[in-house]
Amino acid sequence: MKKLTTIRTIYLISIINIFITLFVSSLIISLRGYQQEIIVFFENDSAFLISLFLMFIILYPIIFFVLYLITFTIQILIKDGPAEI
Amino acid sequence: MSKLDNILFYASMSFLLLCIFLTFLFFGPKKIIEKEEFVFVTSDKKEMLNLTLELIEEGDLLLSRPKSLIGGYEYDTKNRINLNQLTYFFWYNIFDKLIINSMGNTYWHIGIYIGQEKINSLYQGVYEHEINENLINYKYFKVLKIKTSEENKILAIKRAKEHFKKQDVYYSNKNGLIIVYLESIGSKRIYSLKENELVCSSYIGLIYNEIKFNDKPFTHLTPVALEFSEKVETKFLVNETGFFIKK
Repeated sequence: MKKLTTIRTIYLISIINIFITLFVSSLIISLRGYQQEIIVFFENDSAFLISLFLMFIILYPIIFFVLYLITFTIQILIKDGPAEI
Repeated sequence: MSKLDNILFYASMSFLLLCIFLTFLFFGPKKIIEKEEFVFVTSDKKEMLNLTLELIEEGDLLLSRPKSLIGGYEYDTKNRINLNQLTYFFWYNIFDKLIINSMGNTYWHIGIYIGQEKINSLYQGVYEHEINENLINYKYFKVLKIKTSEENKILAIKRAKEHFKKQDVYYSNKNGLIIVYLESIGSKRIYSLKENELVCSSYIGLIYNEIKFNDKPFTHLTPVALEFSEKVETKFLVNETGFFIKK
């Protein structure tokens, strides 16, 4: 049963992570720094799409490992120990 | 374990590996071999500051990079650039391990010396910071002389001061990422980028509008392209060993 939970956790994280990374990436590339203010400015052109793709591939593995670490820690706290693969 | 679980697991792992592979493919680390010869002058911090202020001239460019993660954060804090530690840690590592390394392990930020010990550059907005002991303590830097007339230098300083006053130029992560990607893969492709959404190096291209640093428009100018442009020459640099002047 534990085996199943871990594998399901991993693919569920990776599916959820697609949406989280898309949101974070589009937010980061839309930022226009102006002194202390931050302006979010969404566009819909080829430059925006290519930078969204680049930011996505950079952030996806990072956010994945962060989410996995959080889930892993929660599993340890809730259960007796981490689930095994 | 059902077959669907297996398929989804391997598909998600493949997607993760694909993202890592593409990141290294597009932003693979490069190495720059410096051909210029330098003469060591001093390693005393006070002398380094005095020499910097003595040798730097109005219109010169100052390229810098933080000595370390903590050094960079300290410098930004002392220059009233508000980033929390977590955000700084994130940006430092993205910049250090990916963005800058993909163009060659070189300088991060670039600004123009406008006189009165002040550097004008584009960060979150156009801002001015002083050349003082903080720069010597927390940053390595290189000063470049632009091969152009005095009139162009005066004009560039005038423009820099105007942009500082008006705050009409924005720092754009989007355009920064695209130009780093193009530099990293060695592409000659030109994207339609707005002239008021720039990064520090393309901001220098904007204020030195009369000079063509490379064969791309100024909106596509990276710190590496500026550093190794034929239109500039190195005057001196400060690194982990000390102060070096060009032979």
